[in-house]
Amino acid sequence: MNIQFKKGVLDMCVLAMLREKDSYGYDIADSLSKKIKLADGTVYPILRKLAADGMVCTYLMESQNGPPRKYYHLTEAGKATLDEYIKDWEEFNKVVTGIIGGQDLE
Amino acid sequence: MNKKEYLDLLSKELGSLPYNDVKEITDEIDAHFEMAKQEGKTEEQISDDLGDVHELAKSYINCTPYKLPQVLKDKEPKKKSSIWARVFSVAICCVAVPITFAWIWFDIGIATKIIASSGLFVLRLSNIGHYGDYRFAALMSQIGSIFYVIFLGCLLYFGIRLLLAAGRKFIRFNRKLWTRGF
Repeated sequence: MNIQFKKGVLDMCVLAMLREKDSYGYDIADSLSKKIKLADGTVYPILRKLAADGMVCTYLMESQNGPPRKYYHLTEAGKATLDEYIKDWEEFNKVVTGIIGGQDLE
Repeated sequence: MNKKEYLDLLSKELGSLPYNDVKEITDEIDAHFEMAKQEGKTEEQISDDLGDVHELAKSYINCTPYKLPQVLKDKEPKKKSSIWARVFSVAICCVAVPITFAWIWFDIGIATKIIASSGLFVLRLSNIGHYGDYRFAALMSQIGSIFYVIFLGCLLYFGIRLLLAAGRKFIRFNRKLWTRGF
């Protein structure tokens, strides 16, 4: 898949995954890279940016095996941003589908 | 590339970021390695999956907000002095300056007088023979006087230093009071 397509929607995908449940970096990286073919490392800088922008917050939780894991939790600001993203995405998707399908939306 | 090589290269590439950020990032990627290893992957395989280390470092640097140095922010706003601050400044000058000069007159004046008269002790030392049986006592008394003069000299030295330091502080305090108020 075109890398430019993926880049635009990764923030939205990560936020959407965190809306389902709190999760840790490896889990998000692993499941996202299985669905969308991308490097595992791509997710980490995105999580860092989302945390810096206040979209997610972090906490440490003990794990059964290994050191404590850093969990990410979607904040209220993150939820609002995600709703906006989804709205924009649906609109954009409709328009693009129309254009490539040859339909005249005007 | 094994874990150590990957992390070393990553922290080298992140060189422009503050130390704490680099530490947090490498810890995060380190944790990724450890969790992936538990799933039976080799370090080489994991670093391949993580992707190009230059690309990863670049996206980390792009996503880290640049913090302005503290110096550029919060410049103290200029305050205007009030008439009361200036009146107060003049009033304390009227009190403090005469007191200081009186102190210099009495204290330093007396001390320098005593030090100057130390020459007399030396003079008296030359005709110690006149004291007869009390020669030893006179000698001791005169030596004692010399130490007293040295002690006074030290006091005078530190007194003048203290006076200069206090004077400088007083002038600075008054200037601030005059231009920017309380």
